Amino acid sequence: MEETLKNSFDTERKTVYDPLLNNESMIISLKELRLFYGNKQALFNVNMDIPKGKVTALIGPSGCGKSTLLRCINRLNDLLDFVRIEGDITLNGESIYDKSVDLSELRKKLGMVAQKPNPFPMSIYENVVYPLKIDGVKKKSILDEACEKSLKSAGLWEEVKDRLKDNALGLSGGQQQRLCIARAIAPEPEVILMDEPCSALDPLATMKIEELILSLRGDYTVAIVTHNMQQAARVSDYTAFMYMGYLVEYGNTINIFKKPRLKDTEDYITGRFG
Amino acid sequence: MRDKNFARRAIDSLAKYLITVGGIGTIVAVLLVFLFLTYTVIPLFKSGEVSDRKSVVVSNELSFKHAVVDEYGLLGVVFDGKSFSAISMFNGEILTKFNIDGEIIGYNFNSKDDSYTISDSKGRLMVAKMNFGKNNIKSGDTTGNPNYSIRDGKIVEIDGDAESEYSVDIKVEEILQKDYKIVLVDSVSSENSRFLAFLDENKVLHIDLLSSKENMLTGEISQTIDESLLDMSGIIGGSFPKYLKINSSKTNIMLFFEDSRFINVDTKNFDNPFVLEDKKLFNDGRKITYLDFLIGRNTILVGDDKGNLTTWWSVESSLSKNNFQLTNIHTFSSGDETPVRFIYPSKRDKSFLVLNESNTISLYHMTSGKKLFQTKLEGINSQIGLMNQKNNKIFVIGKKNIAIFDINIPHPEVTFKSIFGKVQYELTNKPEHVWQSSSGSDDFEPKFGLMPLIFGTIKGTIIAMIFAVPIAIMGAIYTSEFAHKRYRNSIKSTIEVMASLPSVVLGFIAALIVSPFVENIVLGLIFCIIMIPFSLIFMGHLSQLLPKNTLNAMDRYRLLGIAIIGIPFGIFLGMKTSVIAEKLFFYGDFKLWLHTHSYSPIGGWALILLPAGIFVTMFIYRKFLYDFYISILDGKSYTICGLIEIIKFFILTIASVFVSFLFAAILTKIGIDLRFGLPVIESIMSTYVQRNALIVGFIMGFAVIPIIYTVSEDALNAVPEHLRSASLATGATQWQTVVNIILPVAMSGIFSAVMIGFGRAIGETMIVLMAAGNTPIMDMNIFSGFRTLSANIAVELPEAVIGSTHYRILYLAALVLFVMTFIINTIAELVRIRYRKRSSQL
Ligand SMILES: Nc1ncnc2c1ncn2[C@@H]1O[C@H](COP(=O)(O)OP(=O)(O)OP(=O)(O)O)[C@@H](O)[C@H]1O
Ligand SMILES: [Mg+2]
Repeated sequence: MEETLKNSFDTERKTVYDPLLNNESMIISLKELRLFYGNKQALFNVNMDIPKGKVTALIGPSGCGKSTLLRCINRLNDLLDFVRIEGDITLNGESIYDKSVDLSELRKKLGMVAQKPNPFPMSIYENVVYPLKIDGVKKKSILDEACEKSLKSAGLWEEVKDRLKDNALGLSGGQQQRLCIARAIAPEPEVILMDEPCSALDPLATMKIEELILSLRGDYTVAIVTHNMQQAARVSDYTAFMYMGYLVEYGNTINIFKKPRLKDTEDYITGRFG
Repeated sequence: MRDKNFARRAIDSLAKYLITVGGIGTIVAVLLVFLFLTYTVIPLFKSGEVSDRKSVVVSNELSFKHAVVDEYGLLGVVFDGKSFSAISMFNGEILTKFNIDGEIIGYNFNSKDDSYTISDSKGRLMVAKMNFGKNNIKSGDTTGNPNYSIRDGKIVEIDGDAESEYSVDIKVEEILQKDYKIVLVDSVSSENSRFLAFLDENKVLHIDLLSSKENMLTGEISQTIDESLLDMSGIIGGSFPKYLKINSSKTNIMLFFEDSRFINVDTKNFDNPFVLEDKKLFNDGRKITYLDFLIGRNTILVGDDKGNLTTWWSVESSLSKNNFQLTNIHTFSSGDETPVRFIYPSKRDKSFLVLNESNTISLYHMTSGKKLFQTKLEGINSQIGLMNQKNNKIFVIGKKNIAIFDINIPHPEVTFKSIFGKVQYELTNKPEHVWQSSSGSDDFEPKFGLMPLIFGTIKGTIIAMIFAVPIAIMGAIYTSEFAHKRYRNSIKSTIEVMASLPSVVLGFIAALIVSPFVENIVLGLIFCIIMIPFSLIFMGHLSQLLPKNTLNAMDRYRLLGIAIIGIPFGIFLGMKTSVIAEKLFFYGDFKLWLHTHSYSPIGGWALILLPAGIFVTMFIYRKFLYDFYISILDGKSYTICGLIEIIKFFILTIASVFVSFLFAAILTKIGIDLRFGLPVIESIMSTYVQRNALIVGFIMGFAVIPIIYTVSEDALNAVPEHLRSASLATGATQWQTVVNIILPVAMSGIFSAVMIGFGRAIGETMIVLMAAGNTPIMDMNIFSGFRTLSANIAVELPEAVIGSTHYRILYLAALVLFVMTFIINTIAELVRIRYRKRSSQL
């Protein structure tokens, strides 16, 4: 099965797009994006537009380049010296790989939630307001307000409101992940990038985060990587299926799950894959 | 399968065994070093041993005024006012007798050459010299248990096959003949002259200088006598003084009366002596019952009728300069309140025996104030007490018997306080911390205060750390956070190679290349230290004016570029500004300013207080003006903002300088000068010495930079990558990430790196030895030398006699050093353990 998929891809290399996408206004556009880890190419000519105010899910087998793609959007891959990126990404029509781009300004617009919870070793409060403080916000009232608001959105407020001064590392894994989400949304970014935010969580915590994602919809653009098909189906408006560094099929979630155009996509979704 | 398991188990247990042995071995080795040091040091603080009293019954009754005993404590000479008699100290038998015809009135013993200066009623002045001798008659195996007998007026010692004779030759020489009665006399002799002072019956003080000259051709010896007189009858009045003493430098002749009146005659001008002081030593009616010099003729030991012993020497009055007054320094009370009968100063050190009327014998050490031995003797009608030169025998001679004590007090001058506290040494006017273990002069008292060395150690270390810590940590931050990964490893290994540079080479460079070079451009160098960071920050600001594209394209080479342009520019600025500053604030000559106290200290203060000025300015700016500043920037274009930043930078710089000058002016106004008179640290900047703390600190900094750098780089690298990217992902700049996330997380690791560097700097020997001038002074002056514990051990241990006080104190210095580094390393280790725990949570 895998053989055939690979073969068909090597010959075609064409992404199948859902025409429904054309109705959306796009915030991020990936144009002919190619990424190399040294000599190894990890992304092949990815063309993909992410619609504004919608939730877009990225699915695909392990190692297909989902995280890499996500990290391209906030230019975290730049940290690695051996990474080479070709093609372009635009945010609101402006290239983010332009030489004149101020990285910290860019990243302030793009909140990121990592696969593994990564709170800073400081208090819960400090964690949440960190992006604001970095931005030069000093007024305590503004910080307090932002902290409460983000923690509430992340569904963590009730649990931690009495111990905001405690070290964040004392929280459970699920709480830490929600704290990271609160931190990501505190500076009110335009886009939130989530890399398997629920991979380490129990079903209950997962549910909470899914609810949170749904509530963010509309105000924020969300791009989420997930291995959980149900989750993708539940939370996302659009779904992109990636394989071996290629974007294979991209379209409306309902369409992708109900009647995928490619057999490969169907195989992957139904679990018959690999 | 079985075999394989067995082999694995065998290897396992062998490895475990080896590791255990290695670990325990290390601990044991460290403990052994510690124990060895302690073992060598402990005798210092032991009180010594005194044997039980041995009594010798004397057949012929003894009665005398003074006595002296030979080095071995076998043969003594007693003086009874008419004659000198040699006696054997082990049975009291009189061996020979030397009679002096005529009545002796005045006498004074001179312990330096075992001589008595005596005057008789016929106006004769004589010097009686006791020449003790030991004659080896037969050599051979000794048993260590000698037998003594008396033969032909000599003491014969038979020890196994060896035989020796002890004898004394008493030589009396007449030196002057006058035609009046001489009541009191003292004399001090040197190679070919003798300084004499005597008081005649008419209370005229005669000061005579007898010098003999040898005619080169004939070999004839000719003598010249200079005399000056001072009629003191008017001053003295009715009574007669009881003691007349000449001090060691022959500048003062001191007269003491029984009622504690004291007259000091100044003889600095030989032809024109005058009365310098005339006062009563005691205001409470105590009387002087005995008086003598301590060894060296500097300290007067006064015994009074209440049983106290007081020590006195001339101290410059605190009120007026050049006005020396005999001052009471120590008081020793034996608890026996009967009058002091006799005082006998040791011929070896600053200890002395005191004998009270009711037969209490006490042995004290003056400088340390330590009571070495005390006992009340029964069944003896004691007259005098004395010690031999080796200080291992005390004799108390009574009318009919002699009491003998064998004593062994190897370190009488050492107390805990004499090592770590302030001690008032002879002729000084206040207690001080001093290290001075040897000197050219004979009757020198070694001064073993470890404080100057500890102080020097801390001084060197602090200055080294001031240089090393910022450079090492900044370097570590640069390589771990900013440098291109590709270069990171090569930078790191280069710096680690630096660590293998032998410190003797660094010391050599410091002493012979840097010191002479720096000497001419001190101020310029200091200004460079200030201007280089300034220029770097300025370049950073300037770089913001570059177009954004260029700037972003430069990316991580930006820091490198700033450094390449900024550092030379900083040096240039430093040199230029130093010239201006020298003219404006240092009276045109910095080095002259350093030791010219009439010049205002304001410039120096401002220089030293600049960090404080910057700190305060930044604090005020951050706290009160930041929001205002941000509001100015609001809505301006990028380039305009950059320009405003530069203006702000200049304003803050000027404000910082202003604030530090403000502080400086306040301190100057109060009258505090950084060049002298500060409490404890004495000064911060003072007289310039070529090999000074600044240079040593700088070079020593280089010796410790690699270790601090390596350990802190590791600590920074150990910060989990996900924290770094999490911070960057929130929009923090790299610098913000370093300051807010990386540094706090790595802080304990960096702290322990600093502590390790600290420990290394404390123990650093070679550089200090070669370049620090080795002066054991307690002065924080960055331009003076210092001596550290380790350098001191290296310099002095080879010349210290094994088992001597000096030797043991050097071991104590080693122990102190060991404890200091041990404490620091322990703190470092504790912090590191905590840090490991914390980072394992991340
Ligand atoms: N730092 C890196 N250095 C070298 N190769 C990398 C690096 N990170 C990722 N890769 C490679 O790039 C490819 C894509 O990796 P990526 O992490 O994007 O996959 P992913 O789709 O997120 O997988 P997963 O679902 O397991 O997280 C993989 O083949 C991986 O080996
Ligand atoms: Mg991934």
